Amino acid sequence: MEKTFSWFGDRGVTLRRTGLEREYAGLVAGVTGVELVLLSAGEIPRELAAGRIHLGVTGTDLIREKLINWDQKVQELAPLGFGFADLIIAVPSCWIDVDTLDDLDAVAEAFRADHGIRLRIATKYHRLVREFLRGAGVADYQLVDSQGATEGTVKNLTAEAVADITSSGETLRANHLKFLSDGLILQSQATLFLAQNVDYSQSQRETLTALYQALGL
Amino acid sequence: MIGLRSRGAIKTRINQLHHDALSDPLSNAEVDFLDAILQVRDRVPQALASLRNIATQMPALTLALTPALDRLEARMAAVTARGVAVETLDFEASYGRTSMEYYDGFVFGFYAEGRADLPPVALGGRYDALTLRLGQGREIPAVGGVIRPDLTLDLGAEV
Repeated sequence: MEKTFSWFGDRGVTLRRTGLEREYAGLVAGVTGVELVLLSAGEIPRELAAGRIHLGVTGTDLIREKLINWDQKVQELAPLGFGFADLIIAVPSCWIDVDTLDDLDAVAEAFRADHGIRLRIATKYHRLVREFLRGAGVADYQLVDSQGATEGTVKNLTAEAVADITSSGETLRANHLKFLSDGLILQSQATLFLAQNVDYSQSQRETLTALYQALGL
Repeated sequence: MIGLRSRGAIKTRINQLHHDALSDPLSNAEVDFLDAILQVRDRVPQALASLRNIATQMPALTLALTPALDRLEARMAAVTARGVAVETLDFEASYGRTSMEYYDGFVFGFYAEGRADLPPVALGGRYDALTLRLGQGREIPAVGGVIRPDLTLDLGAEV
């Protein structure tokens, strides 16, 4: 939140929290007609798609994961240059025969024959991972839901591979996992989005124009 | 070592990779042949003619391809008998190869005309492998599909 505030602040639009320390309310100065709403990053895609908010700052990963046909529901206005995170696929480091998605596909087929279940990939990014693997021609896998501590699932025998967000790769290495060399699914960062499916009134359009000007968009 | 995949499985695959490395790669002619098949994309009659033409160019593989083309021709005759103008239908040899999951053999998709930006409104296919697997060796012919209700509603609203 602080980084978002300073991105806007650098462009002459001041965002500020109001009220008590723990109160989710805010003020906007520098442009008139703009109201600040503080929401969880994970809920912003849904609120944008429904048109309940007009602009939102959240990660590209969350937008693409949570919205079907995201590009018809929101427009990317500006990457904000922070909150960088890569969504990647990782496998156990001891899989010395696996470096690429082609290898993963071959291993998945053999794993299914050996164990009678499809190779399990733990993730919370179901849509992004499925689309990526489909494009790469990887079959014979299944996704298992993991909302946190995903890197631990391989050691705990609840998954054979993981697809998760990483910034440095430290956590992966600490959990005896390695990236696939062509397993980068998405490079995400904090981004300013505009809701597409909204009938903007004349005054709202003027506010948007003024805001775009202030932000240099 | 972590995970369910065993040391033995890793060793087996490494041996396989060594074995693969020793065998000759597919010839360029064979690769071109496969690419040519997968690139066929046309109205049904033209696509069928192109595939027949490709099949004759590679005698070694003609035998493998001809029964599939005969089935396609028979299927299109059956569809024509149902009153569908097959000459207006699109055919893609690579259709659904990576996206249809448990559908196999004959697969199909319905698209909204002039809306290439949208995914198929409906899609489906045969369940040959699925029923064989569920039947543990026995099988029954089955075909099915899905219709996307949200897309259908949105498109209906546009009419």
